[in-house]
Amino acid sequence: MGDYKITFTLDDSNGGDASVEFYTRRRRNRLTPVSLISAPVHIDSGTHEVIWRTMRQMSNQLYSDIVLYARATDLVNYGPQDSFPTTIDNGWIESKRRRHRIGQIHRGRARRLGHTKAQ
Amino acid sequence: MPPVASGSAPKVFFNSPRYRAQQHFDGLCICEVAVSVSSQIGADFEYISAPFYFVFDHDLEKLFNARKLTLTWNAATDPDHLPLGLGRYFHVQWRGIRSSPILRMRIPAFRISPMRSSCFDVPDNQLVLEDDHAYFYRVRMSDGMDYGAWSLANAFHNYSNVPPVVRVVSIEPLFTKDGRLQDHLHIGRFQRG
Repeated sequence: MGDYKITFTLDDSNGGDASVEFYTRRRRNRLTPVSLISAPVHIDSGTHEVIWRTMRQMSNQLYSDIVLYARATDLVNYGPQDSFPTTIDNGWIESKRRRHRIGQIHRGRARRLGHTKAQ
Repeated sequence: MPPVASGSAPKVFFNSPRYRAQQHFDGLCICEVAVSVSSQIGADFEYISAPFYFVFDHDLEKLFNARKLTLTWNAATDPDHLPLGLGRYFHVQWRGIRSSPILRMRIPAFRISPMRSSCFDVPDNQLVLEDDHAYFYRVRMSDGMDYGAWSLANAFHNYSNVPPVVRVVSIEPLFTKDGRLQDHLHIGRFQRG
């Protein structure tokens, strides 16, 4: 839960051996490397996808002021930086956990009162 | 790896950035690293690195396979607007340094071009832009009698290699708000069975 798919395009005229670095910044905080499942290294031109595990870096809240930065590099040089403002909504995770916990409490109470179904 | 004298570790000293007096190119610095294995203060440095160059430029511009160069700058102000009738013109000075450490000592001399506008298309016979060179330039203004101060050096690098360009297309959550995997997403181990 809390995973986001980042779709990006890469244009490398030299062909091959390019890598892409992703950073994120919230408000005036520092640029922080994004926690990805697998880093996009040694990739060719085209459209690619990576998974951002946001819960490793954020909490189960709604973040509406996130900016994602991407920068490609080959063995020699860095390309221009691309920015992508986005919203990360992990608030539903907390409510889901809360509902699950309440359900656990209700089931335990019902079991203690003998209201459980006959096995 | 530098040799180490027995019983003492080498010490590394960084010489302060120094300007070459005859060049006096504000912002452009030459730095050398000297290593002493004797560990004695005041002793000569046995090993001195080849000089490397850097410039105080917060935004080092990047060019890729450029062949033509146009320099622009802001005109200076003349407080007394004197003398009259002698004209106002600019001096532009530039130099290029090859990135390769083998050839970096082959530095062309400074070149100065007087002109009357704040935009300068550098002619081919004065400067041939080469790949993998860093170029530095500065400008000063004259009122016909005397010169103002040089501007700080600006720099750019002309690369032969065009870097890759990335563009983020979209960001979308993998899971719906009830914790299920999005229907249209099929990625690796998250693929719905």
